[in-house]
Amino acid sequence: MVDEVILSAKDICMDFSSVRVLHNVDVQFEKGMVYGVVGENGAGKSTLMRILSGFLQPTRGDIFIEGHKVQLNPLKAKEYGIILIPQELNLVDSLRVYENVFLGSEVRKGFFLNRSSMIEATRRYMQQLSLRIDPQTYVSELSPAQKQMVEIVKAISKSVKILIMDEPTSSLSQEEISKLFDVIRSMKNSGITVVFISHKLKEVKVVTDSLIILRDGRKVHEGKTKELSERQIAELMIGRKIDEMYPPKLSPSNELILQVKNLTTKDGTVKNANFEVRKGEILGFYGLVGSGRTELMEAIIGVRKVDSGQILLNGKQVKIESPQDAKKLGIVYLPEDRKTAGIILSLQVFMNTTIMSLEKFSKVLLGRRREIETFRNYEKKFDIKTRTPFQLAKTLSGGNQQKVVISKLVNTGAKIFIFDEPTRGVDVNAKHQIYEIMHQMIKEYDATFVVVSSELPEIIGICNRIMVMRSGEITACISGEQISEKNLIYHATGLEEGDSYKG
Amino acid sequence: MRKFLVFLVLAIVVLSFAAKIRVGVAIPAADHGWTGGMVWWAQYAIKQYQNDPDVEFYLVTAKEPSEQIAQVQALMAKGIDALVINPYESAPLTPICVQAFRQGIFTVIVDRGINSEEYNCYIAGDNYMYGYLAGKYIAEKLKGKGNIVVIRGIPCSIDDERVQAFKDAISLYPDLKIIAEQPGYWSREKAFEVMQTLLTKFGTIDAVWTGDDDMLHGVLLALKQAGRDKNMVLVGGACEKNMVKMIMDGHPLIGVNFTYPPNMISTAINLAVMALRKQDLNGFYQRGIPRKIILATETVTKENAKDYYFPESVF
Amino acid sequence: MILIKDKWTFKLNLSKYIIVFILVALMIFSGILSPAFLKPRNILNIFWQTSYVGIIAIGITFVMIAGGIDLSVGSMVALLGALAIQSVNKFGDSALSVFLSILLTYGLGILLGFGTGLLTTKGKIPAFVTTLGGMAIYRSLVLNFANGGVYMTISRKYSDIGMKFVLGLPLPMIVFIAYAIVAYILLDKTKFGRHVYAVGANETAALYSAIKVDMVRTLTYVVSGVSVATSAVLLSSMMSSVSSSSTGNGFELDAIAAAVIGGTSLSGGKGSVFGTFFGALILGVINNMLVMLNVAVYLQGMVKGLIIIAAVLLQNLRKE
Repeated sequence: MVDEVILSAKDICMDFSSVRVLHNVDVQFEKGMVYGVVGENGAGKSTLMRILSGFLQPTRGDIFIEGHKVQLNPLKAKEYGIILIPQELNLVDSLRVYENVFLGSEVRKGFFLNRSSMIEATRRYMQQLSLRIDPQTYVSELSPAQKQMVEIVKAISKSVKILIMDEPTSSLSQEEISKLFDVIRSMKNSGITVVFISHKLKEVKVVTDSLIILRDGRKVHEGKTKELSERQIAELMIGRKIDEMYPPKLSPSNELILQVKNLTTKDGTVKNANFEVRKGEILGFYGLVGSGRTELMEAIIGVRKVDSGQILLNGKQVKIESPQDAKKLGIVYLPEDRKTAGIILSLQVFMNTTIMSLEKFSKVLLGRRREIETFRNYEKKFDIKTRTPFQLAKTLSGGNQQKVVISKLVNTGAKIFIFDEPTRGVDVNAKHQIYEIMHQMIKEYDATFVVVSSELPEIIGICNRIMVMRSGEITACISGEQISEKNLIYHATGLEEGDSYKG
Repeated sequence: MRKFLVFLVLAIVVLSFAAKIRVGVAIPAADHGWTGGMVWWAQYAIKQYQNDPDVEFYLVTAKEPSEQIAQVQALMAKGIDALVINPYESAPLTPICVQAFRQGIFTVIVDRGINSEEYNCYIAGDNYMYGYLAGKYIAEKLKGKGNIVVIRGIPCSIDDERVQAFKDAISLYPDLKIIAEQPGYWSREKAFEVMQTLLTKFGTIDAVWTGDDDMLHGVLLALKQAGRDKNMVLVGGACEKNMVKMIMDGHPLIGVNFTYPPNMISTAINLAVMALRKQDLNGFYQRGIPRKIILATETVTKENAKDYYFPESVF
Repeated sequence: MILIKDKWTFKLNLSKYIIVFILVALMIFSGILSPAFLKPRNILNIFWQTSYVGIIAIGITFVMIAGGIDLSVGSMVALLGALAIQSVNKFGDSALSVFLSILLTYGLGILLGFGTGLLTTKGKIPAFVTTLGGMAIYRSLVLNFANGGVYMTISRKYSDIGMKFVLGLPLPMIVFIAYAIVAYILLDKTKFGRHVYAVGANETAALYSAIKVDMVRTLTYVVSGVSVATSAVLLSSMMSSVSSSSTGNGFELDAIAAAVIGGTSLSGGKGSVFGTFFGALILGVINNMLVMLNVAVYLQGMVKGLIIIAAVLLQNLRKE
């Protein structure tokens, strides 16, 4: 294979509401290679890929295709053979497989659609990738992995040259992942360049030839995959030694503060959950997407209907039917999706800090001066970077937004904090600070944490014990020496790790 | 034997119905004062026949054209000899009225014409004289000299015709000036606001003509509030009952009113019954009922106001 | 009001006051074209004429900031006004009777607002649908009871309210300004007000922040109902009558327009009483100007529409 650069980008910068999320990134992709683009959540991977496939216009920088400078939009990019499969797949559930494959480029016979030739062509592509999906089934009936494959077939049908896959494995089982890797290899062999975005190092290590590592919107490394160990990749991603990233674990007391017994939700997303949290503990919850972690937390704070089960606080049974009840009992929740459920973007930052504890600032009228003082306090304590308390929350970076949300929760005076993906979309530095804040709160306020996270290094790095969930049930409680990636994945998927990554 | 009985009963039923005159009356529901008046007058006219066993009426009111079409269809299915209709809108109601006419139903169209000549009788008010007489009265009252304010209704073809007629009458007097012409949307509140503003703008206003009596109420309020309710000629129109009462009681500013009578529906009902009974109009050398009738705009003054005052009517 | 005065806050405030500049510019423009426009008497009239829709617009601002809409206000003015007038007629011409009637009117206003709120929150019917239904139902009730006619009262005590002057100022104007101040405090300086913004800007985040989302939403419709009751009392007492067909017609659109001109977002989370107050005055000035300048009947809609669009455009440009 010749070193033929087919797509390159120079000096790409990108700003979102005056926050820079990409800084002067240079990348180039050669024909028939598999690239891994890795970085933590919020490192700018998806943004970069959306720029390369024409969905976003960079604030600055140029894109070249086979040496020619181009202006991309999604249609043009498709013409050049650049296709992005986003994390949220772009399939129409109510249409059949072949209809999705040929959506927008239907084959016609005269005025009518040529169904049989489309079905035949789809079948041929399937064979090419040795897949067994009937072109005539409805997409809604497919598994997430099969949907992923349909996206790939769709790309191949458009004579793809560069296929960009954004976190394709996030909802796949180990077996499905290895199937996907087979497909990636066969594409590589037929000269297609594959760009594989992930923050799972094992997968990257197995399937890619070359690596581009991003951190906080900057390219920090580029080179052959085999030259780096997993640990080295991880340290490049977080920008410091792993041991420095997570503060040394504290030891919790033996006092049980929260107990959940036989909790089952009405919609069946959580079945018979049992667990307990000790005062001063950081208890982790790990599981794949859809395993019921978030749903369990929502049930505890009263936004998801509970069918049966008990919640005990300090040994006494309590009734929580709404977040108001939870707040009164000192239990607060940091939702996983910050922008839609955590922060209120169009509200001024200081108002975000006080919105959950306004009763502290008012008898009848709000004491705005005291609200601002309170915010200033947290600003200093949590190192929140703002120009003024009056700026709108949407003008803050992800990390600072998250710190504001945390300040909102802390200001309620709660003792039990349920953090769902607390560092999603947060830069490495802020991540580290958030862990520090958690420790500070345990030491100063007797706080207790329940942390839901899908980032293995994080959950391993900060939690005293980890509960693993699968299909709505708690499958394991792992603590101490037992905590390892292998163990967690095993309990989360129910599969022995190892041979599934066979090349 | 049983068959014979059934036949007998049917025959009696059919005959007894056939002997009766059945009149369907279809009008818009009361959605403002004037239509409210029309509903009241329709009921009034029907009540006059209550001791007449040979006439039967079906009165229906509609909130929109499609409802009215459905109602007329239902009336025709039930079987009527005459249809008296004030069409909600001209175009959509035309086909059904034509159909009724072609089926031999005596069809009387009231006020709003249809887009066809296939009907038996058309009766309507006179928009031109409604405006013209108001203009003429003001001109004579002001002795051909002065400043006039016009507060018209919702801009539309009827309103245009009335305003144009008013201007035609005024134009005979070169010293009369229309200093403002603004829409009051046939609303008291709006007319009040417009008048309030015009009173600040103009030091002398000699006469105000409003498109109807409702707006004149608003104007009166504005005048009273500004303390300028003197030396002015005020004219409204359509003989709303409170306005007629004020004229009857000798209001210093309002001496006249002009009809655009909602009781044209009563006349139309009578015409339908007369036609079916083959009666003629008194004084006409011709047989039957005229095909087109434009009612005269009548002038109401203190002297004859009591003939136009119907305290029980809603209008 | 604000402690820290740096460049940033100053810029924020500037964009807030642009609506005042637009109002002043419109007034100067009208004053040049028609000197009578700037007579003190006319300025009072503008406030007066604006007050009915203005008070309703303030109520609707609460609803809109919380992410809702209220199309029923126009018909509700007629319904509540009719109730006030019929009660006065029934109870007789005394101060007590007037007081009771007003109390009843507010009672019904609160009740209807509460009902609308419950239907939209607990019944999960979109506000657009609930209030569109309300709009039709209230109007139809008013028309039905009056047979399309007019509700009138000859009570002097009642009609005095709407025509009263206090310290040389018309009472509706005073109520309008006082109402705006109270509403400003409610929206800007209380927990409820802050929650209104939170619910409209991000319902899910508000829910997780332990805010009673449904309750807050419902209460905004109650505020709207109270505003409508206020406006209905002022309007019906001034006119001593309510026309079942025309009273309140189009108020909903004028009120929404006033709020939007004042910077209230149709999708919730943004807006202010300050903005709506001046938005309503801008509308009032436009209406007054159309008459003052004797703008041709058929062109009035166009002039009004153009000025509204220009006013919103100017504010948006300023924000960029």
